[in-house]
Amino acid sequence: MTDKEIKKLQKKINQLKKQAEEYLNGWKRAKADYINREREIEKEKAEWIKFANKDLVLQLLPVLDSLNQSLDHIPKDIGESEWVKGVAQIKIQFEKFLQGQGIEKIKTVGEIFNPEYHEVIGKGEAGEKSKENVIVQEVQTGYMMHNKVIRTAKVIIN
Amino acid sequence: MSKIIGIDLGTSNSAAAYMEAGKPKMIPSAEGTTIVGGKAFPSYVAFTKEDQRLVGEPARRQAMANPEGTIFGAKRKMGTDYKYNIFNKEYTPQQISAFILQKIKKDAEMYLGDKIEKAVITVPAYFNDSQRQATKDAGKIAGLEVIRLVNEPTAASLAYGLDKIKEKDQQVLVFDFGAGTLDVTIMNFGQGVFEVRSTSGDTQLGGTDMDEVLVNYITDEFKQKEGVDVGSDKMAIQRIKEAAENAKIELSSTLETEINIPFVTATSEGPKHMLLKITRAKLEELVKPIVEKCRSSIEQALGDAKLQPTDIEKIILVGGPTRMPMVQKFIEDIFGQKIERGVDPMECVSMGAAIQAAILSGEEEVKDVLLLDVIPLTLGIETLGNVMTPLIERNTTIPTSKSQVFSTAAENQPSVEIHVLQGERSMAKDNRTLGRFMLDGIPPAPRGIPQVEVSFEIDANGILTVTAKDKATNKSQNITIKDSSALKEEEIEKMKKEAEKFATEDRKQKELVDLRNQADMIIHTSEKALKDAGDKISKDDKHAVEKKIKDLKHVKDKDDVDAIKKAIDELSSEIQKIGSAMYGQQAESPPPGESQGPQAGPQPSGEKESKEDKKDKDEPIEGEFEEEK
Repeated sequence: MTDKEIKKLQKKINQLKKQAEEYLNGWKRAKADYINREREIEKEKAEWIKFANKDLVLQLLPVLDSLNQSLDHIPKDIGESEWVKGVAQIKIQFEKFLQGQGIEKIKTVGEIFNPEYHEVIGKGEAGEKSKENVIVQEVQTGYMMHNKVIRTAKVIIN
Repeated sequence: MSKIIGIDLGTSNSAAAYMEAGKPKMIPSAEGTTIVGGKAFPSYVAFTKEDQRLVGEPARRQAMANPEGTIFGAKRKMGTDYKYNIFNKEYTPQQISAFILQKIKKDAEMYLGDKIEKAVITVPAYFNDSQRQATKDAGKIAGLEVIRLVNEPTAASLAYGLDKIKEKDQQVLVFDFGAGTLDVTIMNFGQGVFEVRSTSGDTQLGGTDMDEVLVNYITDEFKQKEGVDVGSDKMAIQRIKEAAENAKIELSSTLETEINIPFVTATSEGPKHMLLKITRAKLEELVKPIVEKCRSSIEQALGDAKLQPTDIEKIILVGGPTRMPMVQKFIEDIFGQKIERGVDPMECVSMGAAIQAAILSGEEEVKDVLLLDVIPLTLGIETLGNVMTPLIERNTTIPTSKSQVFSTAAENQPSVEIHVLQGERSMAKDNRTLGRFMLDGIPPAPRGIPQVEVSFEIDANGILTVTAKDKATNKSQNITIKDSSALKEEEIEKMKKEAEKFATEDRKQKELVDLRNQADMIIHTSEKALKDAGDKISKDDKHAVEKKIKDLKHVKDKDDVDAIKKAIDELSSEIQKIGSAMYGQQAESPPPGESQGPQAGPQPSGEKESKEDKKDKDEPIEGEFEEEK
């Protein structure tokens, strides 16, 4: 074999080596991607199951808001009637259902404002005596599901 | 090697993506919500008086209470000497952007479980050198090596795969209509390079304006109808805003929706309710002035590029508001052609950045080498009753392998024939035959006892090897089929179409065959039970069973599904009476030497060995070969 041929083959070998390495790396990467994805899917699955009802609950919340509003506006003359009591009980039923889904209300009035849970939509009148950054009014109830915020509480602070 | 992520550092919202198995995927923002929640987050940074730093959603939530400590839209100040002075501390726009990038880095590291050190960040096409340098600096401050800045319209084009077009130069228009800004870019793509020809836009125009006009309309209508101004009722406004947002989204797919807010507010006279119909036409009328404002930017971009609308070959829409049918139509009318579809307009910029990152890190080349194919049609074998039993479903990515254990259909059956099939039809005869072979030398045994493992293996080149092995003797046979995917595109389509066309018919026939197999099975079990029982049961009982067996035999080869079902049920309850009388709790007589499982009923007679085929378990596969004749 001439030197030239040897050189040519050497070059070829190097080329193939490089290619083999590239393929092996690609293979490793694909395998790693797969294993990582599997792990991710497991995690996601657990999350999905836990939060499967989140979207449904989020769409139900405005209905509860309306119900709450209605109970805040009970006409005085029927305030004590059995019928009104029944409607109030529907609200309790609703809230029990939410509890069963791992959902709880976010505390507001009197709490220190925390942007993790609360969203400020207004500032209270100046001159009020309470401390700064304390929530003085809840405009919309916020909710947590399995300790994660699904809807922030809309509040007014001092 | 750690991943390089792509970042869309936007004026109003920011998002990030990464490449996985050759496809861009969004990285969800941590934000205390769930994975089901949003992917992008608002580009807000805030400092509280207690010197706490907030980024994203939490910063936005407290903005109203802390306006002096909240920064929004720092992108607009990039590359200038402007300094934010927050509680006596100075911050450059780069630093503020760096806080946003830091959050993205942290979220990505948590989500991917890996350190992130490098990123590709997108910038508007019109960004000048100092603005670009500022963006790079922001990355550095955040601990990210910015390996490339990519123009936002280029990133969007990558997400749509425009870089794959090789034929000729293309004029591309990218219409990026975000929450608060409009950017129109015209690019020339050729020889693998995107070249910006002109940019134009409006820094004070966006989707937020649309939300505003809709809320204003709703409150105005309410005022006219009820005479009540809800403007100062914060709770009412909050509920109206949410309802308006929902209505807007709904009206992208329906023509009419309703704003229904009971007890929206109260006056001295009592509660007031809001019930308002909004049509898509009304919404479009409301936002029309805003959409029309985009026209001048488009015209300017065309003029600067010295192009006519008809010169544009590809149109890409970016940003949430472009989801509105009206916006799409507006653009299509100007250019007289369809927009590109298929990628989420809110995700395409960050996805494109991730694609660019992959190209730069060399992943793209590897992907090209490793282009994985799928099998176009289902592969399987023929089993009892001329049924096609699929082993590898169509659209499975290859290389792959799968095996399943089958058994015999007759007593002392000495051999099985493996008939390899391709196609989507239920009956063997309607599918394409790829090959046949025999496995013989199976030791004499009752039906259902021998275990024959059939394995399908397809390599990366689509070459299929089918192996059958008798587990008792380890004797095996195989066949290699090279042209399993040699069908022409039209043939594949034809076969798929036929499968759809005959789906109902096939299902009925399959049901009938399954039922017949079930009938055979129960006749076999019953006869065996009678024989085993001998004279331990009364003559009357024996006669009753024999009669039912006869009835079933009579109807089983006819086409009346209900009659067969009825006869099976009757025989089954008759034989159970005997069974429970004789064996106590055992309902049916298990064949000797084998656990009860596979033979007890018309369930799959073989255990499945592949991990992937769990879903198959619900389907009644009559896992027995047709007896060789």
